[in-house]
Amino acid sequence: MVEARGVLCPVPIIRLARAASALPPGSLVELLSDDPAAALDVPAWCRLRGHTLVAVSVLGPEATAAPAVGTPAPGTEPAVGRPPEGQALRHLIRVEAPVGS
Amino acid sequence: MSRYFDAASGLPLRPEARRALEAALEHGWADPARLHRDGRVARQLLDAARASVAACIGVPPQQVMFTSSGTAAIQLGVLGLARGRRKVGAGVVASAVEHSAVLRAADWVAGGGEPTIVPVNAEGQVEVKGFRRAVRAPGVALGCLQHVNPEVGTIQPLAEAHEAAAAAGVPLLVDAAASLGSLPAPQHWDVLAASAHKWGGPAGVGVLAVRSGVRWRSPLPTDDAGRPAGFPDIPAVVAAATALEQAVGDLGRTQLQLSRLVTVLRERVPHVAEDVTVLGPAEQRAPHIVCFTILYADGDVLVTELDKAGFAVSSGSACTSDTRRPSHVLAAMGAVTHGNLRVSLAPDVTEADIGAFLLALPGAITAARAAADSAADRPVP
Repeated sequence: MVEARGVLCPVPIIRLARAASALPPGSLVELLSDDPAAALDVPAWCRLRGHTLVAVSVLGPEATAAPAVGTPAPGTEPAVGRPPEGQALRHLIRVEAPVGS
Repeated sequence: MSRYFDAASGLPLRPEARRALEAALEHGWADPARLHRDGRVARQLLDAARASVAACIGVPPQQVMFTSSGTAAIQLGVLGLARGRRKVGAGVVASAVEHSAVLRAADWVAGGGEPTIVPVNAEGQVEVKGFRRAVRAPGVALGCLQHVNPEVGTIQPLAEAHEAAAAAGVPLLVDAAASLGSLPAPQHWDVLAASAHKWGGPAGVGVLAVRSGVRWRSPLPTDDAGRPAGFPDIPAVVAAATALEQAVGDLGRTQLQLSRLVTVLRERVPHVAEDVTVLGPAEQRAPHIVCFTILYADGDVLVTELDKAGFAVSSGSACTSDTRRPSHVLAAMGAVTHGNLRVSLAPDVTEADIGAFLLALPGAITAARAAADSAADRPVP
């Protein structure tokens, strides 16, 4: 799990990229972030890097996982919304083989 | 040597425009409504400026109004179309990547309702099908589409959008702020808004053109001609017209030259460091604007690092801004919003300037990434 609550972009993406680069393809990474920009940047980064965004959910104030706001059909992306004020998002990312390898 | 790479935010006053401004300050100070000699001189200067701007846009002079800024031109344009078409409804259709001045004016017109926002593709081009569908809906007073996106440089499909709007009987407002003076004036519009500061005229002059037959009604009290009452700043307007004439006269050279330099940047910047990509289309783009994503860096830090190296650029990232609101343009394109860098070239930029920039860029990227890296190393608060 990558903890990135309380930090602003690009730090959540840097921590996510570090975690992903240390894992073999097929691994799952969980990112917690409350930066509104991360809600945009995580899916964009996944597209750019060829990773798969598996699910996005809203975390309650107690950091307990809430129901997923979007669990996508295969080949699509989960619906991504801005986290409600003061709340964090949990992104679940599947690490894919590096593009071009 | 020019190291000002933020032309899309505004250009310095062109020397010819400065001379015209000084002359007009001396001779064009009087009330242009008066019949005496001084008044007539002021009137002649104003009329000549209007005729000159109209010729650059390709419309008769009576269709051109001067406003106090590009934003004011957009607001008058949007509110005036909404007023002219209030019997139809208060609906506004706009692309997701319009300038915030357009989107805020659309919000204003829509009152309690919401403007219809048409999505764009990954290169920032509006989806024509979606635009066509949106303008056909009942109650739409106007459509809004920029000629060129100021952040990414994408040229919008104005011909198709205007055809779609016309077929639905909906007037189209075109925001030409990012293009007028850098590209030939667009032809497919009903109302056109632009800003003199972007073509090397003074700040504080906007242009609003309304084609005859378009149902635009001034949202402000008018003079006898139906224009918002009062006179513009005549010396500033004269300078704006002089600058535009020169910019349009130079287009044959600048379009080619800047487009060639932007092509160099598009080819070389992605190779100065890892994880750097170009945003926006290779073909349907403005000659002078190019935008990059530099992953794992803070856009504002990149701007500061390049400023230290002597280069003025801008960024659509907003990692450290108070609002923490990233660029709605990048968001709409589905692009990464951090590490954004916009380079927009002034007409006098040379190949040597681009070379110097390409030499300075790797150091700036390294410094910005090092700063972001150490922020990522810090433990969670």
